[in-house]
Amino acid sequence: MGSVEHGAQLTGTWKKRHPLISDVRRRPLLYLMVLPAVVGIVLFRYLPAYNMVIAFQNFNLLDGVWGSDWVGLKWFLKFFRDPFFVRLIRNTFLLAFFSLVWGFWPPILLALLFHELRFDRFRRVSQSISYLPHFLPTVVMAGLVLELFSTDGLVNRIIGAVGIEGVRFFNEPGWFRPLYIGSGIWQQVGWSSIIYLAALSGVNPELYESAYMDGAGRLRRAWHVSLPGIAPTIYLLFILAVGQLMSVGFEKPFLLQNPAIYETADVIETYVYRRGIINQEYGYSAAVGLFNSAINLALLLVANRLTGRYTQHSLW
Amino acid sequence: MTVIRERFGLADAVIILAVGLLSMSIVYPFWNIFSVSISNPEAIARGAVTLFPIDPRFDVYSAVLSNPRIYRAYFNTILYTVTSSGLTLLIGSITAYPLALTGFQGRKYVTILLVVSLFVMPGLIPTYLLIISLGLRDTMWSFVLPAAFNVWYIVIIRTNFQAIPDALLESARLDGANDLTVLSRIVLPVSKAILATIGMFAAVHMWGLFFEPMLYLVDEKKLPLSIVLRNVLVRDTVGLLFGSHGGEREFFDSDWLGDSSLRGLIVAIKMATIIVTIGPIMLVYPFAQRYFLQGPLIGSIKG
Repeated sequence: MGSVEHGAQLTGTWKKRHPLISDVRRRPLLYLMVLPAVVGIVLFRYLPAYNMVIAFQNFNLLDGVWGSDWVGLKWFLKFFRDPFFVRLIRNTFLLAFFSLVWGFWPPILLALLFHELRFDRFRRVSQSISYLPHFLPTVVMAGLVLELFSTDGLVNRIIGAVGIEGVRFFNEPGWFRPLYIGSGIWQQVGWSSIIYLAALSGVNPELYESAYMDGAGRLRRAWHVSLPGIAPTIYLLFILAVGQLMSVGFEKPFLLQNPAIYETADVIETYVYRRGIINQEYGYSAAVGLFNSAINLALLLVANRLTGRYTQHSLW
Repeated sequence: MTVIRERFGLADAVIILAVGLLSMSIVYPFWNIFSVSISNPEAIARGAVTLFPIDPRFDVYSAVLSNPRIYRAYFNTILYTVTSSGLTLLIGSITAYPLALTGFQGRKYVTILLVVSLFVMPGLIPTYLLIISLGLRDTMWSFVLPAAFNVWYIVIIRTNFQAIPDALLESARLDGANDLTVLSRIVLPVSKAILATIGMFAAVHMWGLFFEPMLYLVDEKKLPLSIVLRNVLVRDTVGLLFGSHGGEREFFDSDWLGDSSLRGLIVAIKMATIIVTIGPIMLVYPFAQRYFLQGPLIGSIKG
């Protein structure tokens, strides 16, 4: 992927001009081919970024981005004084943080189990099954959780059968995070194990054999050979996950939450949706969103920096 | 070379048990959903359906599939999915092709434009206002178009194109073929596997997409399945599908329903809607698995 020297392939007659211009004249078709993507990316990625200035405006739809009054940091200051400020930051961070703490290691464990599983057919079938939930639409996933944990759902029937009093899971703030994170692990554990399995298949088999000759059992081989073998992959994925620590996404919290459990379930993105789209407080909600984006960008840049140290390849 | 020879031991038993439990925890809910969807509503209301359907009938499916709100949404979802998948592949290939050529002078500039865009996070409100001002509200382009310009997909396709031997392309060019011909006649046919993979991921994404359609679509006739599913599953408004609360009953044989509570019937309808929604994914999955499995691995080239 080395970059080509400017004009290296061009003949002398073209040297006066910028190599790009002469290249466009020489092979216009190639430039026509990248044009839709260039236009699309500018339109759908960069132009919305321009609209971010409304976070500093008293924006209304009639005056538009060009005509609205500037209000400086008014909306940001309002957000910092918002009674929900601490709650939103806490909920967003804790949801992502506990998802990482509880969700990061199960795929590694599962990959080790699959790797050690010696019955090929059973392994293939159970692997296929474990990947399946990843493809469930979020709405189906949320619907399943709501149905399973509803007041007369399967879980309450089971705990009722053993004589424990029923739990109104979606009325108690304390249950939101466990249900959100638990269902997330169930949905992603198999899928996330794929990358570790690929790393495990790259571990030199001779290492296992010499460990075996030295008398190491399966647990010790897993601990002393498998784990160190995939350690670079683990570090890399961990850093990438840290880069996502303040971005929990919108759909799943939105579908699982209700006002009774906003105390733990309301996150920045769902709050932005309610204030911005439902209440049409565009300037304020854009400021809240921008605040979140700034944190996300900082985390992403730090993560990207760190991954550069572990791999020779950068982004391109 | 030695080979590890160990007898079946405690470790094997523990592994089989753990993996088996995980598999069960995934298979059982799906099986239970299916069993409930065809069981008698009265049995469902009692909570009697655990493993096998009770007094099975497929009436719920005919009621669900003949419901105009559902089959219209089904058609919409198929339309959005096919369009999105096709457009994503089209944009991906025609963009990746020039970027894969070493002599292409625009490569540096386009690459910077693409990569920097990954770090631009405008957020919900600015994006929403842009889509509105582009006049895309209440059209499928409000969510199909932004999804089509996927930088990761372009990068992955480009990396695959680069692996094609230059000699193959050169011989075609010597025969006078232009770049579009080279792309369609030579590059695309040898890249079927990666195109199938990307096409399928784009399709799965669009099949389940919920937030953007909820934001931008106004006309009820344009809603995709995901929105109907949310109304049915999350908002618990099954009755609205059939015109009124309690209207569900009219669609069923009263002998079969008996005196059963509406609740059982509503649960059956919910479960049938889930099966109908995930059905296509489940049916394609076993055959397309080898493509799906490329996903996390091709994604890892970004690292």
